[in-house]
Amino acid sequence: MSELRLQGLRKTFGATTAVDDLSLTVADGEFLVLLGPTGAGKTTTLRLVAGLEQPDAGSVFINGHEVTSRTPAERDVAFVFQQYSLYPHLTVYDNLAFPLRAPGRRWPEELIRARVQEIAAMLSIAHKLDNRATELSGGEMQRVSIGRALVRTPNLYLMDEPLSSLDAKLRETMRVELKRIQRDLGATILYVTHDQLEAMTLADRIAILEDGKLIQIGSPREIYENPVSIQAARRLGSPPMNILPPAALRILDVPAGTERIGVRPEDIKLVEDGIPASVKNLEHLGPETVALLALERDTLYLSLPPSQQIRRGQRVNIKVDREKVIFFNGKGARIDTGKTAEVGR
Amino acid sequence: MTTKDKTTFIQKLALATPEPIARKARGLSDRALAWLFISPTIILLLAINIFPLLWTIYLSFTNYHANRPNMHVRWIGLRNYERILGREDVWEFMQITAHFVFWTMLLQVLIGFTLALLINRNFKGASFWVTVILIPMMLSPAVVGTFWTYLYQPQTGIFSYIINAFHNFGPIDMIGSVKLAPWAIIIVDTWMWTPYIVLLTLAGLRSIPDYLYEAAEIDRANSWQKFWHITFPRVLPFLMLAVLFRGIENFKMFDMVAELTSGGPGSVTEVVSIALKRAAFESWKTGYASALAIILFVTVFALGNIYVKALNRVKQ
Repeated sequence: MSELRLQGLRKTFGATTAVDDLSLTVADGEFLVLLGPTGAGKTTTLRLVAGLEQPDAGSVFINGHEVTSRTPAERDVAFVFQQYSLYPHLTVYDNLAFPLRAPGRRWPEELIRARVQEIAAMLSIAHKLDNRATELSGGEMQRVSIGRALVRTPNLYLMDEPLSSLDAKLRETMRVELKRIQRDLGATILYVTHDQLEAMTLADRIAILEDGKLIQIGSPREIYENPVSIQAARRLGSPPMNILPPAALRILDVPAGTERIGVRPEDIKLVEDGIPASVKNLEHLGPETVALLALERDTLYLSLPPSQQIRRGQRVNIKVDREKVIFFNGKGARIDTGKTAEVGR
Repeated sequence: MTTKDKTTFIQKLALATPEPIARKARGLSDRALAWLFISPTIILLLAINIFPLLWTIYLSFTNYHANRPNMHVRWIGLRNYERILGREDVWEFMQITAHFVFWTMLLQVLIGFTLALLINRNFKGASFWVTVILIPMMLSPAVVGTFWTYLYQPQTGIFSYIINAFHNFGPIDMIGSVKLAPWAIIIVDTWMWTPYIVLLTLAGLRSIPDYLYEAAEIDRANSWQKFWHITFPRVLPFLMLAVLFRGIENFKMFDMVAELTSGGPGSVTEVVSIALKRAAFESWKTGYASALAIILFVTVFALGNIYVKALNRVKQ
């Protein structure tokens, strides 16, 4: 496994800048998730690392060696595509064996067989080895795709939204398996997703991208508690952080320059005597209930334990602990009130 | 027209329809109406396709001569067929046709596939070159045959000139030579129809998603592996389809050969359809020619069926 370093990466497609001066490091054995909305430049970044695209500026270093001008084959990385990208005319066995049959690095057949069986067993697809790649369910195709990446021991694994085409149940299972595999192998993984839940559960660190720029990088907990901007704050957490004018929550004592404040749904409490609000909508999610409340001029989300019962249309009072409030200036950047936040590298 | 006018118009129309027809039209079910609509086409089809086919089958069992309509027509059973299948020169022109089909298909697939692979990149002027390459296909076979006779002129034709530029063979008589004439028609057909193979192969190539090649690239496959495992399997069904269509056409090939060599010199390029034409409209052995036509039909049909079965197996 290896360390990956990106330095000043820049890539434009015509008039659009997909990746803009991106620099970050993935430590050896780290699971780093690139999180961001569509068009943020996550997939482009991944492809730049793989060598499937050439950057307009900047460099890629794998294990300290500059690989920017090297072909994908020379970089020795594994890529799990969003569309699985299995070879349709080969069986599962041949799909898994394909990387090991590369000319010049060909393994002996007995070793190939052993390795393929091992990986297939690890991913629970051993019973489908003789099936054609097209005769599989979505989940099985996904596992073959991951298996094909695992079969070699490359420098690093690059995964492009590999779970996005799976149903929710399968996604849950695969998340746990991916994390387990990564721990067992000590693999360095760069993982792209737009799903904040995947990011929160899988990542050792999350790098949030927006419009091609890195806006924050840190552990899930760090970003969740200390977002550097409104954008970063809203990326993690479901329902997302509430962003409101300070007056709406009757917070009068604000640092200079504050234009908006952010407070998480779980940090709002129902009280007897407080800011009046009415319940516009309720979602019972099992372990929690999410309520959409309407204030005088704003709406916000509130997260309640199931023991607290409220009804749609009910009038309630809320209160917010000032300690939990985050202050943002006019440009959306967080105003430092003494808490630390890790920005950039 | 206002709604009121429309109603009145239709009412007038209804009134104008004679009562018996109107009654019948109202009583027609959907099914009957459907039949009514397609009946003109069916009648045309029957008259132009089905009837002649059946009539030809009937004629093949007779000794009818079209240039002697008043001659007494006798039913002679399978004698035409026996004569055809027993004659040596029948097998010869089957062989000539098979030779023609085999070589044209082989050359067209090899050249067409290669050309398609080369054009399938995004280079400047790609679409221009594709259009240029497609031009031969759009010409009429008779016209192509005709102007290639000029190209093939031993003294003044450009074909001989170009070959001699590489190595001095002296004036080359393609059409007049017994050995070279079959190749003359093969070359012209290849010139004309390779673009067809190129087109269908391009369609197949373009249906291959980029990410398959990218995955192979990441897996460190070389060009041959990419070709064999990704390109070839995906393109094969298209290629086979193209060969099926062209193969059938070339079995029946008439106009181009007729213009170019008329089956000559002698009968060296007498493909089946030319033999058929000679029998039918030069010797006027109509019954005999009908039998030959039926044999041709059955052969193409049978071969086509076998081929399609193979194609279906490849497609899956």
